[in-house]
Amino acid sequence: MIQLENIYLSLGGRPILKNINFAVPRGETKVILGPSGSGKSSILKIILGLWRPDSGRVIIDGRDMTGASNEEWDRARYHIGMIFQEGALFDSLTVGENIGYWLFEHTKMSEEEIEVRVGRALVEVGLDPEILDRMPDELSGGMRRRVAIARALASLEPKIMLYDEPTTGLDPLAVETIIDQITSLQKRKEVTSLVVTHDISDALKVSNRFIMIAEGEVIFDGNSEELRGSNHPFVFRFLGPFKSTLAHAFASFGEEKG
Amino acid sequence: MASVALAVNERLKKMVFEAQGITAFAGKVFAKVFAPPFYWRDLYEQIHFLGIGSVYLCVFTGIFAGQAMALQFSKEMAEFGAKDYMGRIITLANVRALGPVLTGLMVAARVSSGIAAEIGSMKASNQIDALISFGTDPIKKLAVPRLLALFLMMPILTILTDTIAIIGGWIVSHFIVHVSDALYWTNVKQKLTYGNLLVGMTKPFFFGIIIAIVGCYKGFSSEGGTRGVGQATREAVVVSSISILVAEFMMTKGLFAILGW
Repeated sequence: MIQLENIYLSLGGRPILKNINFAVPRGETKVILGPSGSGKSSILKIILGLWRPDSGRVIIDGRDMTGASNEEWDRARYHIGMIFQEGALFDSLTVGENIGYWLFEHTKMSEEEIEVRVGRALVEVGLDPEILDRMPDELSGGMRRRVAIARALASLEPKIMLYDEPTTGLDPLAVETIIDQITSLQKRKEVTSLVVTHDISDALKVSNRFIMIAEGEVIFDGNSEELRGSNHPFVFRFLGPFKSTLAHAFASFGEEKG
Repeated sequence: MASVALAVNERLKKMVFEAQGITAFAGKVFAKVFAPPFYWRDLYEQIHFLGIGSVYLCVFTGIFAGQAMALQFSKEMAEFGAKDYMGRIITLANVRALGPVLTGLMVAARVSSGIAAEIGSMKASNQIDALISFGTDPIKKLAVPRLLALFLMMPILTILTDTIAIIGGWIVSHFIVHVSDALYWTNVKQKLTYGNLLVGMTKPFFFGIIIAIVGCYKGFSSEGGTRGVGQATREAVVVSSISILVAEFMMTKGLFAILGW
């Protein structure tokens, strides 16, 4: 479970997050929607302990991480997988080394055991093990994201998955593949997931629970029906450009869930 | 006038903050040098990339610096009938000062910028955050191996530059100035004293530290995506080069005082 209470964050004197409150129950997926620069990614960095908020509480799986030491955060991160924008694969390592990075660094597994686990993770995300020796810059954007998901899977046996704009800049086919990965992971492993995106149609395919952030504040927290019916001027404006596809997307989502 | 004073004041303030930042960062890196885990593979790779990869620079620098110096000195020394002492002056100048400084500046240009660009790009593409999320301390993983690699390789590169520069000096002495080979090499040997070697070989260790720390600091502190990386790269070269020249002066003064020269 992820819970944020009264989170405030400022960088260089500029307020980034103001009084952020929300919770993602264990095993559920929630999507954070909002325009670029609204503070969505900052929330993920706070949950991962990369940034410390000015005030407020971060509770991960019932444990209050406010004021936790670096070592405590390191231990907490063992169960948190993060898919960064563009994948953030290590440029100087091959695909195989990227996926097996955590195992090499933090376990005493033999190279053979690591290879098996790396291969299994690659297959899990639908990639051919032949790409193991390729460098990240030889992969397409979609493949890089899938390798990043494989890296999180092989490494950590995550209980929580955080996705930062996982579909941004990808072609429609790659978007479908990534969304499939996110939803199947949620079904198979029952991980608690938080997905940051500004694309409402992708958001609807991933979950039925949404938070909307604008200028560092939570302006909406609810399900798709409530989102569609929201009278908040910003929500109305944000959903505006998607109106033509929105009705269809809501209908499809309803059918799938039904 | 007031605006000039204000600009100078701002610049000085920035320099002081920068020096403060670099010192604090150096403290963090030094504190982690002897603490496990040790990234031996990264150290080996950095020795190869930063050290071995800089050999060609030292060869070019040494050969042309040695020859140019010999040409410059030959005319003046011939006027005083002292051209037979070419070996002495070339050795003295190179081993004590020019060898370490030229090596430091050349390696700073190649390596400090490279380190800043690499770490800055990693930061811009969230790779540093990814390292932290996998429980890796980026300073230990990225800065410590680079610091150790340059600390170990700079003296070796300096010996190489010194040697090649002395050979460059010999080429000019032999073919252009027509100094006897035996005389040249006897003079070289006479000036390779413990004192001169101490003065010349202490500096590269510190120059290596300066290049690594400035490069890493600039990379880690870069902001603003690719534009920030470009700025960090440029500043890394400027700051490390100036720091090397300042350190050269201060260390020469200090070492001379220790040796009673």
